[in-house]
Amino acid sequence: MSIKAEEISALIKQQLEHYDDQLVVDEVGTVTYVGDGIARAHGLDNVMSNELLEFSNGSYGVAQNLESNDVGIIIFGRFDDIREGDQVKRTGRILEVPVGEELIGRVVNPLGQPIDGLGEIKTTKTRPIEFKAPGVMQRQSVFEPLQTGLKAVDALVPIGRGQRELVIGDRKTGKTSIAIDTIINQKGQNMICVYVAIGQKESTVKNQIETLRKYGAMDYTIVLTAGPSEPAPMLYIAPYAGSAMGEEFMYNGKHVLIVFDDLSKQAAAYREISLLLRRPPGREAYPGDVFYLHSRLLERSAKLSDKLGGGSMTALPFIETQAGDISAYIPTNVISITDGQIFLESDLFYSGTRPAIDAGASVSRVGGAAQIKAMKKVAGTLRVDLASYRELESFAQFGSDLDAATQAKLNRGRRTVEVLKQPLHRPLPVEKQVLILYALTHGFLDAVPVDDIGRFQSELFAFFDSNHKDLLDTIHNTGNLPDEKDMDAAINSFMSGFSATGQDHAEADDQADDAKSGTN
Amino acid sequence: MALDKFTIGRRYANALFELAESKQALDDTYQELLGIRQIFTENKDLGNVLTDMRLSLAEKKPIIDSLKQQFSPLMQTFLQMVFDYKRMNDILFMVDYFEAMYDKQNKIIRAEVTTAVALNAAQQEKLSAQIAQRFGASHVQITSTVDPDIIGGVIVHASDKVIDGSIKTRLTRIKALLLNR
Repeated sequence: MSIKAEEISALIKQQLEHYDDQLVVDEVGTVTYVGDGIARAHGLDNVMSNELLEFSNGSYGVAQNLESNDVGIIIFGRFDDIREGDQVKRTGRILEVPVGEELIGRVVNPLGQPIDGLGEIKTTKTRPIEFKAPGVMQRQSVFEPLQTGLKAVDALVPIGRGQRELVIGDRKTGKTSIAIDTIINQKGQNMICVYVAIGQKESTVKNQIETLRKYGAMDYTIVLTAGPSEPAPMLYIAPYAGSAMGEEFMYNGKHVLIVFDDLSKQAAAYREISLLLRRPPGREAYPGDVFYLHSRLLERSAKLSDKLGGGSMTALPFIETQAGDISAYIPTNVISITDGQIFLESDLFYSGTRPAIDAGASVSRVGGAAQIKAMKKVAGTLRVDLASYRELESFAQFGSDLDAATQAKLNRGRRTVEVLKQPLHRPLPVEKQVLILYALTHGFLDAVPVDDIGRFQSELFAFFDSNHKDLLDTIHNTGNLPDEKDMDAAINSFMSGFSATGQDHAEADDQADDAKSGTN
Repeated sequence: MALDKFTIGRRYANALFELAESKQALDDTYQELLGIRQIFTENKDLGNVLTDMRLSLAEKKPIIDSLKQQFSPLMQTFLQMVFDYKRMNDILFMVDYFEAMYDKQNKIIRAEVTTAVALNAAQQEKLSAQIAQRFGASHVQITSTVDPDIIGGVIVHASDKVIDGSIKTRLTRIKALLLNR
């Protein structure tokens, strides 16, 4: 292929036409200190707070501390070739990230630059990373459900679109799995997901992206990652940048799910910056405005009024606790900001109850309004039942002389725990959740041995898929429970064909099944 | 927290400026400070030596005395006081800030001008008139440097502002435009 010289010169001519030769007056300062992602500069008398500054090596920074003699600047990018005495220039702009549809399916860093090797992202729009949250008149209350696909969440702590639900727990309790499963379940739900990984190991993030890709979830997901090897300023701005990308969709009337994984690392990064900028340390050495750090971020997730298009941004912020201590500084802060929390416990996790959701300590303050009617009906007493079971369970260990009512309660409780277990990356559609919970609360499971419940469940779903699709469709389309007579009849006809393990001649087959459900 | 050198320089310079102003000796004091700046820039270690804790007062006294004697009584007391408070190594910041105050009062602008070829007297005259008009100053002092790297045009650096009219910058801007960056 030959390239014509005339074409090139025509192109250059065209581009040069837009070149207007203007003398620009730059306001500059002099770097007096640089290190640890922080610089101080003398001069820059008219600089404004949060203004973007340009260093002579091409790196950008943001003015954070305006003091009488100098300006404290956090640096995004290389700072190892900035020297004392270098010039730093005002730009008159604030920090912005590219936003828009083009980002979907991509992996970017907090500045919106692609890091997945799939080439340039040609966005046309940008948004400032710090943006004021919508006010009272711009909102409406949460009413549409966000289906996570997890029985334990959708039944016990339902989440509505526009809600902020905290996911809190020790390390290795399955916090990230909840996020990934929820994102996977958003397929076909008219939802755009933003997964913000803050200080997560690059290898872990890589795995999550692969999982999302495998389940086809990258088609509606933006992954934004600031790894542990990035300087603290990048970790600090990551959730704001992610929110800016989500807001673009929210203000265009779309539904967004944003996951901040996790905010304790962002708080630690902010603490590092603040201490280096010599802001006075407070409790646990966090600066005084660490509450505002999270409140202004989470306030940006909202359900907008119909006048503004009715878009929503649901936030799932994560907090990692140390040894289950939810009364530490950052956990209490974020608990008080969010509309409820999902509390994950390591004891439950290791005893095999996964997702390891502690039903007693988990709440959702607004999600109940967003549950579909069928779910409300079948899951209404579940939380109380589960709580009384946990209470009885420890009590029942002492003796075996229990009256029939207590025995029944224990029986039901054991089966409830079993039903709420769910294997990784297998989110359930809401109609099937309703179905199994209906079977549970109407006592159909009481006769099934606990070990067989996993198998019972999958066979029940298969039976309904092939024989009673209409009932499932009714739940899916109307949100209401079908006639109880029909439901009972359908389940009874399944029960007559179901045989518990040990009573069946095909024992080997069932054992294989059990082993499978045991590992799940 | 220890005061930084800019704050120290500002406080001492402020005091000296106000005192000199009340004694109507601003110009003289300024000229003397320029002398001090010259001495201290020529002898880089002087400030450190005069604040060095390892040297006894008896050893430092001859130095400060010989430094003092050539100045006016006002400047002598100033130097003695700065010496007593062990701020001699910050004296250049005091001079800098005094100069800034002096310039502000007399509407003097100091401009660093970088050109590819040396300016002749007429060009310098014209340039300083332009700068004076732009910054609203009555007097402009130009320090000019020659840097063939900028190819052509002028870069003016005055009071924390840079006016860059060099060919080199324009070329880099065109390059960025053509490469769409």
